[in-house]
Amino acid sequence: MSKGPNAFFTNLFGRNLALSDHLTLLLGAKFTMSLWVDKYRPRSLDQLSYHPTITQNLKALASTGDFPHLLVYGPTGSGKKTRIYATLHELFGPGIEKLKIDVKTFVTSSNRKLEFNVLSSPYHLEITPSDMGNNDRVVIQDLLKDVASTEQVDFTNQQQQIKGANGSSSAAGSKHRFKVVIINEADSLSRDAQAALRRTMEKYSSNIRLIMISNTTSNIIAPIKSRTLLVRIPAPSTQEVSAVLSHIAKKEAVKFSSPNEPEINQFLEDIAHNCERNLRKAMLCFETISMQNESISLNSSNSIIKLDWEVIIEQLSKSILTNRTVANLAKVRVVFYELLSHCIPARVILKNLLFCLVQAVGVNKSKIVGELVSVGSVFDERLSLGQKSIFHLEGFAAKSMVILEKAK
Amino acid sequence: MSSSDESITDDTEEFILPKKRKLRVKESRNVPKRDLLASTDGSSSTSWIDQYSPRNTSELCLHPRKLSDLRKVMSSMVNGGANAPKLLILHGPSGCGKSTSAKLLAQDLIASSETSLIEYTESNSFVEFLHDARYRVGYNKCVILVEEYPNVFHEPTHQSFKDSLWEWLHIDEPLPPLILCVTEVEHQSDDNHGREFFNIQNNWTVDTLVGKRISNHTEVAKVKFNPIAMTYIKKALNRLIQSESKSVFNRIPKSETSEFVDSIGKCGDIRSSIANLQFWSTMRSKLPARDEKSMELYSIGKETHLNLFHAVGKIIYGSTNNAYGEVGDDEFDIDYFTILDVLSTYPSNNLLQLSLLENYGIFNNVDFDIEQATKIVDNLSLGDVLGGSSAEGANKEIGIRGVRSILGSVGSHQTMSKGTKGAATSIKFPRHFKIIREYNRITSEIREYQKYVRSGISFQDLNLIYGFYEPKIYNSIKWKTKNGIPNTRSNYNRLGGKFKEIYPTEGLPIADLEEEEEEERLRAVYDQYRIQIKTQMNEGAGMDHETDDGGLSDPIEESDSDFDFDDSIGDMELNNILSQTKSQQVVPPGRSHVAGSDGDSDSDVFSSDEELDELIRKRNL
Repeated sequence: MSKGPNAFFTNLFGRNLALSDHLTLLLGAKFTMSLWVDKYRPRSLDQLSYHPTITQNLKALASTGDFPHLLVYGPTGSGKKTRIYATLHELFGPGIEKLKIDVKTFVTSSNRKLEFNVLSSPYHLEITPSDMGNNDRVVIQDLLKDVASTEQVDFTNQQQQIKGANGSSSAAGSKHRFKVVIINEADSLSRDAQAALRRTMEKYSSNIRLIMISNTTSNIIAPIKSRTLLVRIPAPSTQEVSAVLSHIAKKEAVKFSSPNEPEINQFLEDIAHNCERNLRKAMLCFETISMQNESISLNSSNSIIKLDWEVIIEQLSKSILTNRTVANLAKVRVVFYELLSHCIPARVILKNLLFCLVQAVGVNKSKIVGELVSVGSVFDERLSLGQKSIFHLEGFAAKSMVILEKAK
Repeated sequence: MSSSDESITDDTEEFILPKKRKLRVKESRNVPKRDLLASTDGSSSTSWIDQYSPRNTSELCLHPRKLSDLRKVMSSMVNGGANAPKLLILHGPSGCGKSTSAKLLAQDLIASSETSLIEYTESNSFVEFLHDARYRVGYNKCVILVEEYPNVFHEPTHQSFKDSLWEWLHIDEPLPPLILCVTEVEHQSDDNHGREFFNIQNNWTVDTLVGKRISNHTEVAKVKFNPIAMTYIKKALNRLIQSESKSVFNRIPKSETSEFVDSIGKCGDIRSSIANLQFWSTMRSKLPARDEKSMELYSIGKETHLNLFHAVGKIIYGSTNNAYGEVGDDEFDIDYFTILDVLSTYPSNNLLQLSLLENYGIFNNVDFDIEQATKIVDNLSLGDVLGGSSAEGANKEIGIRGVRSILGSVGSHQTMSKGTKGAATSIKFPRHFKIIREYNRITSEIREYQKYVRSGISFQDLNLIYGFYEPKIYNSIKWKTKNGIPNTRSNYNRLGGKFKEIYPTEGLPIADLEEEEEEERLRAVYDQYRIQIKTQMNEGAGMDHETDDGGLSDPIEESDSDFDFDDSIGDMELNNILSQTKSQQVVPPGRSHVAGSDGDSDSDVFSSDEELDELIRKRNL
């Protein structure tokens, strides 16, 4: 009641602002629900904690003011993107973190509307080809052409703006007459999209720099590999992960049941190990553990919080091991469908199931393990060739039942 | 009625659209039909369908037990019995006597009144029609028959049609008997791609027409008509032949006539059988007694339709009689031609393969070796790899033929217990489409979350890792207290909802939108993820978020307290707004609701209020 007129003004203000950036969101919003993963994400190259040689190379790269097209690859949660953003930060300054999302629509040849998100800052934009389905070639070509042709105009505008607002930062901007395009999940690009990219890379190399991110290079065609600088970011070692975690633990004043330093480190390394050295997963897992306990007791059983879908797959493997009948195959199908409907990729299911089976059989039984893995790879191939994954997943389950039955 | 056109076009029209003609005749109930039709021209152009339509219930081509069942239900409706249903639905394939039996029974039961039956015609509004029909009680009593429907392919019309039926079921006064005749049709389409569920657009069944809510209602009685058994059709046709023997059939050899009757009697559709017989006999009688061409006329007839479940059954169990007749009885041949038959009806085999995967287990009641099952699945998997949309020949058939040949080699030992197997293991419709729907729902939810809240993190990371850990963190009391979030706020569920098992259904899956929307709404209210996405979405779209969210999130926890709008915005929202605006260096907008704000927000208050009311009501239930 008391805040009448004041509130009225602020209200007006807020409304104005909301109208001015229709459909674009400033990423500042995400810090409202700040998790440790976001809070402790390094913003500059100096803050990076592991892989010092890579950091050094990136620093050298940034200091030249220019860089070739990059292909950054490595397992998930190893810090590929963090490193890219840190490098861009070094190059362009803090402006790189002023992110917004634009929803672009693209009309395909069959007149279907396609919507995809582009994450962008004044200096770069970021796309995910899997958003675009089968049309990735056309969409990416279009988008890059767009960026390359409008770049000049955009850039001079920006220059003036920066000059007008702040004379000092303009010097940094003028050096880079190019825009960076980050392509996420580059390994999911279709073959023809990749082929098209290779021409685009040469044609627009004067004002576009591509940074492609992928988990492996095996799906990327050789011409692209040869036109890019390959940067491999390996997964951090368990010690490195635990170092990061213990840094967070100190900052957040996480309480442990015992103050004994080596014990704590051992515990954190257990977490790192259970999360397959995926730093992102490890940090989330650690935060979950510490949120659920007032003080964390340091026995190793406490260091695992398995993901729900992993638990489901583990139970599935047990059921395959113990009950090898046609009737059980129908139950297995229910579980497969359950996982598929929840967008768990079929290949992830196959891989995890295979590993669970192998672990349960015992790695030393090389004959059975060999057969299981060979069957697994057959169906893995079929998964990528075929259309409906349920056939192949069930095929794998059935075949592994037969193998296990014979081995008995 | 076309008067001068007595040429062939008139004839054919009669055969193609026998139903249309009949409907036009119907309007004047009390005039004997025969006169009307006789006026056309001579006996040959008169439709036998009308001419020989049964005049009383004893002439009906119907199983006596079905008839007596129907009579019982209808008489209880007419006389207002204690357990009389308010709505009777007669459903079945075309030409099995649904509307004819309803009309004849109506005549029987309401003898006193002048008009025993009124029908809905498409020209009227259905809502008004039902409203007027309500007063057809007492002396005016008559049966209300709905055989034509308003344009239900138009969604709002369909909705109002369902709503008025629903209303009808909840009227608390004596009602005239209302009968719906539903001729069930399953449309066959070549591409089952993207078909996510069955609805009125692609299937005309009771469930798609009136919705499950009505079709399973206690006040509704359903009588299913089956295709008419061959013996009944033959009896009726022979009776007809008898009376037409002087004009037409004396010119046709008896053996040919009976052969033809045998061949058309199989289809189970009395209307089409009579039409065929009439056409055939007219043509045949113009040919000389012994003629090659007479055989060709056989091809005119109703095509027997192989439905999906039948097709799956044929592949899994094989078939004992082969479809083409002329080849040897070798078991291999039979299988070969059976599958050829099935494949010709199902040119795209995606749906068929999925159904086989779902159903191969019913063979021998899952009592066969795992190795055989493995081979089956392996074949289906190969079929999926090889059988793309452009696949030809063997590539396309490998999955389906593989299943038959393996199951054929296993050999059935079920013949002895044939009676019991039907009930225990019936063929299921593949749940693939349900899965796709669920998949799409979850995908769009995660994508929205990605778009509005957590941009920059890949879809799979969100689904696989964040989706599980985040709720655990956000829901923990420690996190809440640390971040100053009230404990009363609704919790986060797993991103995209909990994992849930999905089972295949028997029969065709029907989209039940009402139920789904309900479920969706409840989930949206109790899941903080949804609320968060919505908040961000509204902010992004420049909507008046302060008022919009208030109704959705917090007040639910305090349903018995008075709904005070100003307090309804939780600290959570405030935090959100604060930090959102902080990064933009703008004074945070207040959350107060001042007189100065425009009408938009006022209406928002209303809408959220209503929603809340409904929620409160639900919780009390």
